[in-house]
Amino acid sequence: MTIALTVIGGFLGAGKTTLLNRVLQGRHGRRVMVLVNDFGSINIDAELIAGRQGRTLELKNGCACCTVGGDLMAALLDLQRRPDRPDDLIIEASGVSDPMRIAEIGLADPDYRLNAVVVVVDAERVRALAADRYMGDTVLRQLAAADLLVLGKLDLIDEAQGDAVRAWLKATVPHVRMVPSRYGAVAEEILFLDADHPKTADHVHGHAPHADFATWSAETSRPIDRGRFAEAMAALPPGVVRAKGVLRFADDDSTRPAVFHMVGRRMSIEPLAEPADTQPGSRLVAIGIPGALGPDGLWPLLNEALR
Amino acid sequence: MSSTTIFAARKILTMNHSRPAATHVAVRDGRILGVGSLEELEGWGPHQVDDRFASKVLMPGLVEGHAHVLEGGFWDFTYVGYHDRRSPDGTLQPGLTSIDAVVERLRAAEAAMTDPNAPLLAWGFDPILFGGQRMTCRDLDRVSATRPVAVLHASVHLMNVNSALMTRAGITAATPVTGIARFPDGEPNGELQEFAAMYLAYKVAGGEFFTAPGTERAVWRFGRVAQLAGVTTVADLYNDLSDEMVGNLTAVTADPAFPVRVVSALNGSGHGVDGVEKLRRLVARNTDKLRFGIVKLMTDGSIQGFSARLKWPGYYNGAPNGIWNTGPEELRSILAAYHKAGFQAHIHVNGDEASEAALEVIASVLTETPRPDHRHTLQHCQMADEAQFRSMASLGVCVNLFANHIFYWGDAHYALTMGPDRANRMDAVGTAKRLGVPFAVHSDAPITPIGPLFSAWCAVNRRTSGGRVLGGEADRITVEDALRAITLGAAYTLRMDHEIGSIEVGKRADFTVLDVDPTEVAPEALKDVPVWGTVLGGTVFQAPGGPGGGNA
Ligand SMILES: [Zn+2]
Ligand SMILES: [Zn+2]
Repeated sequence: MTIALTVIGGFLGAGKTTLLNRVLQGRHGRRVMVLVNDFGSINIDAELIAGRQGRTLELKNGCACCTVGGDLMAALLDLQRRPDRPDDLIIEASGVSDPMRIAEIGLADPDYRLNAVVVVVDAERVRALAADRYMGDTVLRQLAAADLLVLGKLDLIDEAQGDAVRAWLKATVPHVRMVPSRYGAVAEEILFLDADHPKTADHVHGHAPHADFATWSAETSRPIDRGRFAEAMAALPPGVVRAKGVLRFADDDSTRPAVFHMVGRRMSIEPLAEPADTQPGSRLVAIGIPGALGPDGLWPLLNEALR
Repeated sequence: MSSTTIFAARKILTMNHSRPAATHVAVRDGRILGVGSLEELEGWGPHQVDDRFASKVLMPGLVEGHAHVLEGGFWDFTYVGYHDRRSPDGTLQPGLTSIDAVVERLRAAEAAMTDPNAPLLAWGFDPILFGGQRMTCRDLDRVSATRPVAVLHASVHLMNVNSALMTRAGITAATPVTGIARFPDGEPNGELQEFAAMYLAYKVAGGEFFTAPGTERAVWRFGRVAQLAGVTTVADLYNDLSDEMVGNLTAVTADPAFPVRVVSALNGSGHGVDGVEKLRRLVARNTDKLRFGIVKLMTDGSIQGFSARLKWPGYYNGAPNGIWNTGPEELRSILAAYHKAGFQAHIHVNGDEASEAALEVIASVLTETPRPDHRHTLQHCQMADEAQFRSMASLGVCVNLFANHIFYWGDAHYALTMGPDRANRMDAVGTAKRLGVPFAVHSDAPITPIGPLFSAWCAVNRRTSGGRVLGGEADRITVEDALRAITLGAAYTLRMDHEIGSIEVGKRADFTVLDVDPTEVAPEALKDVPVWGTVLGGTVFQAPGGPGGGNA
């Protein structure tokens, strides 16, 4: 069973830990392991922690544990020796590292599947940092590595400034998808979106008040054309930041369906490894900013992909 | 009453301005009771004269201000470096000057292995010394077609592996990560660098590289290698200092047979601000042979790995600027915490942008919290220009220059990384001396072999392994200044100059015993001055195998 690898990058103070806490609060019934860059920077909400021993944090959630290693390489090698391997590995990259260099593990090691590189952006400071004589190139490398940008600190600037930052990001990293962090509940779904039981805004628990995100779903019993499906997904508007599907392709005669993941601009399709899927047909779920899709939601796109 | 021993020597170089040379030194309770002539010392009362050094020359025990216990760990593996290297048991491992010779030594090591599945691990390889010829998996496949073979480069940022290892690691032409070097046909050639590529290899065969340095055996070997080079105090300049490691260091250094004092610096970049409390607790465990109290902070990477942060105009070959391991903003918050707690920081800076940023950070922290005699030290500091040295002088910052780089990578810096201008002034010992910046020179072992006399030779001669002399007269220092840099100079950067670094009354009886007088040999021969052994706190340690040769 492959481990889904998510790398969370972004400059110091951008809000990586806040995002991490949101993710860990998600009720998901999966074993999650978190590697953070250093002990000093981990500030996981105390109420989530059941016990702390050496460099390992046991999370109350029961399904999650969290190893904290000063040396990422050593921690990854150590993880491989553990009997209790997680379903998900989240690596919080240091504030100055290029998260793609770490994420490559998810592309090369068959034990992993790269879920996403999520980069948290401090909307107030990002343009100044990108122009900083010491840090500028580092910040630009981080932005370029992102599949999904989570825009934090928007509340610290006014709307016009917010629009200007968004426009600047769009020009700087044209293909990336972005979501304001006030849709913080999206963070949980970045990892744990369940194609069978998508949460709606009402189900989402969370402590901070946040705007509701939108959920769209569609299903069909007709076989799907692989090529047209990929085209349709690539055409999803930028406000759709996460999608997951269990799909039966016309060119696939296996009884196992395929599972589709999209996080930001990263998409993957692989055979479903989870316990046998008993439902017939294909289904697709997506989440994003309200209004990103029209009143018919995903239906027009899925129709495009049918044979 | 404790006994007094008076050592007689042909000459004693004291590094004490008021008595630069003497013939006798009296030792009581491990400390220096007096220095002078026999007549002058006899007044201390009953004593025995030990004249085994009557034909030798004594110096203050040499101080290596920047090395790593990793050196001791690496001796678990096969050494395949280009240059001769002395192993912990004193035997000389001859340098391997061709790829065939590397393969030969690996074949011999392979033949001696019993477990057919165990990986063969080697270290110290340096491809830039083979004139453009690179080692590939085809070479290493001659070592074994079935056993994984991994050869770590001297820089520790790259490795070569064989096909058996790549098969196990799943490394193919299609592996989508950076840092996998290829043959012209696109197939991977076995040279790996960067995080993910190295990870794939470590995962199947290199885990021991990470566990070996944490053992008691590694500490022992680290101490022995240092002692062979005439060192009596060695800094282990970046350690996680886990409870287990602290236990190992404490146990090993407490053994009277362990021949050196160890200063172990806490990895502050990894511990962050939380490490302040840890360091406080560790200082309480200090002994006369084991010291805590220094924090090591990172900034950039390495110049030869193109990961150092350079100011304009950047890398000579056009490579993009390097990376930060800790950026200036984070460095400031970590440094401020340790500085306010009264600890001394040693900051790794290779490129000139890193040294500039570090100096700005130190200035800002000092403005907020002035502290006399902090002695924060820039480590490596290979590219700093004169303005940065002036800034060091005015801020009270010390520098420990990576002089060995001149020999080992000077030609590469001249041709590839820095270009002639900046390579000529690299590791600017002459500038440090002229501007009054307290300085030392170091090996960064295992990156280069530990050997203060060799480091001093580099500072005096500035000669590359290819024979080029970097810089002019003003960039060099005298033999006398270089010998000071590897004794009192390094002791000063470790805040131990009141205890060690010179032979004067009250200091610890730590001496390096030489067969010839280093101030009498030609400056070009400084690295070849034979080390007979050392004296640590009055106890004599003869180097195994008798007089050791040069270290290069
Ligand atoms: Zn260093
Ligand atoms: Zn070092």
